[in-house]
Amino acid sequence: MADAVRIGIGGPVGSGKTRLIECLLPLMVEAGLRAAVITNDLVTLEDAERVRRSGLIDPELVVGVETGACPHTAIREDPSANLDRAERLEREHGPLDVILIESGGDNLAATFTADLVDYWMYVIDTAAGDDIPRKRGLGVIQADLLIVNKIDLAQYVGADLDRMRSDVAEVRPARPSLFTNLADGESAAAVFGELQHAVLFDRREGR
Amino acid sequence: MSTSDDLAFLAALQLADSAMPIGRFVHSHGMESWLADKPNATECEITVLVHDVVAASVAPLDGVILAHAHAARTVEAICALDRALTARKLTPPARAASHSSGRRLAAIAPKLSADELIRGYAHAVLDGDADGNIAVVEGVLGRALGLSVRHTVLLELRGVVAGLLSAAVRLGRLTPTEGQLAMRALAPGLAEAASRALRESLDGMFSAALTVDIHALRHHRSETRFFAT
Ligand SMILES: Nc1nc2c(ncn2[C@@H]2O[C@H](COP(=O)(O)OP(=O)(O)OP(=O)(O)O)[C@@H](O)[C@H]2O)c(=O)[nH]1
Ligand SMILES: [Mg+2]
Repeated sequence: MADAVRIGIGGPVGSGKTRLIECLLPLMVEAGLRAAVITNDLVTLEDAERVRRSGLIDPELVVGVETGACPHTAIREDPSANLDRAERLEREHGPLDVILIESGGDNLAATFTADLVDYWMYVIDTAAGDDIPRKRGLGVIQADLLIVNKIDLAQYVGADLDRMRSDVAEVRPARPSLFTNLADGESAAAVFGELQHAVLFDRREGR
Repeated sequence: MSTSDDLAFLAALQLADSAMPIGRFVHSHGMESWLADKPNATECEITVLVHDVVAASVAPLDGVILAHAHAARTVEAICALDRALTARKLTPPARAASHSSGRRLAAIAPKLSADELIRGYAHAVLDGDADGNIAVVEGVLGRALGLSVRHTVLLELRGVVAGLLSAAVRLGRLTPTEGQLAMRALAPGLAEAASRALRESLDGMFSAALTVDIHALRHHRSETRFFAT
């Protein structure tokens, strides 16, 4: 039944989660992977609409899920609503290779449960403060992949990238992290490479 | 208290616990839209609304079906009750909320109890051969875990009340303390509604909570919302 690899994307509001999805989708298409997207917008279906309109994916493969004003709960304590949608996507539109699940933006304490996803990434924003890694939020520490995004903005906000790199290395001694600029989309290839290596290795073209 | 009473009591607490991952918290059952329509609703008005939903809709419909599901002795009989309940749920959001939580509970139920009926019925739900209304799943699972029919009905009614009040708390319209006071104030009404549900035959079932049904439908069409229903 659950055939698709489910990948969670968490992180504070505006850190670049939807942008990451927009960057990954073309790379997935190119690799012959069939992807679907679930977004957990807090109030509106804004993100779902944005991904649908992007032209990067069949609009039917993008769904928004309401979380009763509890974005954390929907990815951790009780992922029922997201599981329902993931299972329905596979039933109605399968077979799928990947389902990307974007959590509603939140503070640094959110984590994904393994009941919902096989792998999860946490996206933080360089411009929101270069001390974020040092705060040891659960998302920053536990995510399978940490993405420190918007490094292009570091110079404008006086963020010290070297310090961020050493803080990240300290709080995540055994897990991978990537520093990205998703505005031009270039770093997305590195993220996709990491996903291929970690969870998509057995998915091949032409399934 | 005997050991089996203790186990049944603990099972009831577990089924009522918001930690049970069956997606209850994403549903407001029309509460979100009702509150948006009534920006000045008092704690008392909210409590009255919740009471009316239970007394005029949940108890005389879901409660009656649940009591019969608790007594049912074949998977076929349970599935027939399941269909009867779906047919009497008037609005798509009401059906969606009942089915989605029910199916999640059906997925967990066979892991909580080795009872043959709950296993057989849960199988039917997961295979898509039965709808899996939450009241039916709770009725069958409640019996399997040793709960009396009365306590299982109360559990169901309390679950709906908790969901409605929790939605009001999360929307910032009740304080958590007010929510608990309302829950306490509603207790005698729940007991009375349960008694009526236990006396009612399947022919006498009804659901008439027009106010929230209309709001649930309005909510269904709304573009901006926190809750699924
Ligand atoms: N300069 C710069 N802007 C970026 C980068 N990544 C994303 N953005 C912009 O940041 C803004 C927010 O990005 P989103 O992808 O919407 O952020 P989000 O995490 O999905 O936000 P929510 O869903 O609201 O929590 C958008 O305007 C993006 O174009 C980046 O690497 N550099
Ligand atoms: Mg987003």
